[in-house]
Amino acid sequence: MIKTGISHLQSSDQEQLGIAAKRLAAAKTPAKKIKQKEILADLLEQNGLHNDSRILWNELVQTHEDNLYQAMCLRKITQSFLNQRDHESAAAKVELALQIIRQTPLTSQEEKTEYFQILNQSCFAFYFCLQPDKVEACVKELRKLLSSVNDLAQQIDFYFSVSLHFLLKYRWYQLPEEAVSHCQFYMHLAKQTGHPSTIAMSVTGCGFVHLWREEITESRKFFTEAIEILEEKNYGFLMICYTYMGIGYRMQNNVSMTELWSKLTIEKAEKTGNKVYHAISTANMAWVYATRKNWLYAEDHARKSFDFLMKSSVLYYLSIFPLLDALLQKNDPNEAGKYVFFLLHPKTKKLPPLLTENLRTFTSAWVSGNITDLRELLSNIIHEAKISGYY
Amino acid sequence: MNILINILYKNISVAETLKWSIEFASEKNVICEIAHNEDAVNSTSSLLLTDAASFNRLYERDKQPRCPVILLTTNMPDDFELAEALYKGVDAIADISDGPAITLTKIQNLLENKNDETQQVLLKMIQNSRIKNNELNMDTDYGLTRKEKDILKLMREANHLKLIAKLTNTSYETVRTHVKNIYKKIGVTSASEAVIKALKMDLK
Repeated sequence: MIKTGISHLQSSDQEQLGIAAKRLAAAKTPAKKIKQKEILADLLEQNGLHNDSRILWNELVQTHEDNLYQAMCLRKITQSFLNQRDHESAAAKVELALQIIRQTPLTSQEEKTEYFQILNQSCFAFYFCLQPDKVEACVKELRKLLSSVNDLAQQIDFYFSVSLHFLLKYRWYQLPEEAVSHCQFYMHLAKQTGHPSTIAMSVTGCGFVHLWREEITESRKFFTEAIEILEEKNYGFLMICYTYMGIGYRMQNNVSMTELWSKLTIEKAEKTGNKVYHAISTANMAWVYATRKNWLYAEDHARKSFDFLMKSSVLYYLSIFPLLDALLQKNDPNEAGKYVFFLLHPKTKKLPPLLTENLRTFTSAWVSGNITDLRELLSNIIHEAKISGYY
Repeated sequence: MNILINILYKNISVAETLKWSIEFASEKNVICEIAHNEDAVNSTSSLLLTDAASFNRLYERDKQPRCPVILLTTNMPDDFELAEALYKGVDAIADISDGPAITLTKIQNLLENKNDETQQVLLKMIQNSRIKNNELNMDTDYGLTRKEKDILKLMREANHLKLIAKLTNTSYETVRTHVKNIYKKIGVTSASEAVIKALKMDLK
C-alpha cells in the first residue's frame, strides 16, 4: 500500500501509519473503508509521503459520484502537490477541482466552504505559476463569497490570497496603498489566532509589501518582528525573513549588513537544503564582492546564483546586476546582452521605468548587431541601477 | 502533450536568451531547443522561431518547415530578406528589440490559433515600394500566362504563397513552380523584385 517507504520516519510516526493501515485493512463496510482511507491519506501527507497520499485520494475520487466529495479529494491532491512545491501539477489539479465544484448548486454552506477553500488554493497555485489573470479571477470570486465565511482561518486565507494577487499584479514593484491596508488587516486577523506561524506569515507579508514599495526601514521592522515570533523554530520561514533583510540592506547600499544577513541565510539554507534562498543570498554576496571590486568573486557568485534563479525565481535580477558590472569590467558588453534581454521578461519583477528604458535601449542595439555603443549603454544601465537601488 | 519549440537564429546569444525567456514563462511540457544551423532544425517541432535570412535559407535548401513559424525581426530589418520570408509564408512576426515580451505573446497567440498581422506588414512594405518606385507603368506583360498574371497580382496584393495556393485552389508546390516561371520571364530573382516590377505592370 505505501510505495515510497516509511523507514526514514520516526518510530512513533511509523507506528501511527501502521495502525491506520491495519484499520483500513480491517474495515468491513464500504463507508468505513472510505473513512479509514481518508485518515491514512491525511497521515501520509503529514509525514511527507506525498505520492502515496495522492494515490489514496485518487482512489477515493473514483469511489464517489458526488461532485462535492470529488472536489474535496481533488483539493487534497492539489494541497499535496503544493506541499511538494510542484506548482504546475497543483495548478492542473485545482483547475479540475474548480470545474467540478462549480457543477454543484453552490447553495449549501458545505458547498460554499469547499469552493472558498479551492479558490484560495487556486490563488496559491496560480501565483507560483505566474498567472495573474487567473489569480485575479479567483480573488473576484472569493470576494463574493467572503460574507458567507465565518471561519477565521479561512478569512485569513482570503487575505493571504489578496496579498498574492497584489504582488503578482504589480509584479513586485510599487504596490499601491490599498495593498498596505489589506496586509494590515490580514495581520490583524492573524494575530487573533495566537498561532506563531500564522502571525509570522502575515507579518512577513507586511514586510514584503513595504519592501516592494521601497519602504525599506518599514519593511525591516516587520521582518524583525517575524524573526522574533519564530524564535529559531521554523528554519524554512526564518530563511525567508533573513533573505529579505539582506535584500533590503542591499537596496540601501549597506554592504556589511547585506553580507551579514546573506551569510546567515546561506548557513541556514545549507543545513536545510533550501536552494532558492541559498541562490538569492549568493546573488547578494555577488553584489557585496562587486561593491568591493572583487570582480572574480562577484562574477563567480553571480553566475552560480543565476544558473539556479533563472529557472525558479522572479528575483533573478539580483544575480544579473553584479554580473553585468563584472562583464563591463571585463569589457564584454556583448555577453551582457543576453542577461539584459532576459531582464525585460514580462513576468519577472518589474524594475523602475528609467532603468527599464536603459535596458530597452541596450537590447535594441544588441539584437540589431549594433555593437559600437554597447559598452556605453551598459555603463548607463549600471549607473541607473545604482541610483535606483536595484544594482 | 509536449510542445517543442525550435529556435534558429543567426546570433546564438539571442537564441539562448530567448530560450531562457520561453522556458521561464512556460509549463514543463514546453521544451525549447536551439538549432545551430539549418540542418539542425527538428522536423517534429511544434513551432519554429527564426530570423528572415535563416528562414529563406531553409527554403533555398528545400527544407521548408512543416510547423508554424514566427519570424523574429528587429527595428532595423533587412527589407529584402524580410519581404522574401513574408512571401514564403510565415505565421507571425515578432520584433525582439524591446525584449522577449512580444515573442511570448505571439507564441501564446499561435498556440491558441489566433491570427497575426503578417499580411499588413507585407502591405505596408508594398506601399512603401510604390512610393519609392513611382515611375510610369510598363505596357509589356513579358508573355505571362493568365494564371501567372493572377498569381503576380495576388502577390502584389500582399498575399504570401501559401495563401495564394489556397485562394487559387492550387497546391503550394504548383504555385512555387508558377512563381519560378514568373521570375524567369520578368527577369528577377526574388519575390520583392517581382512585386516592385508588378507594381508598374498592368495585370488586368
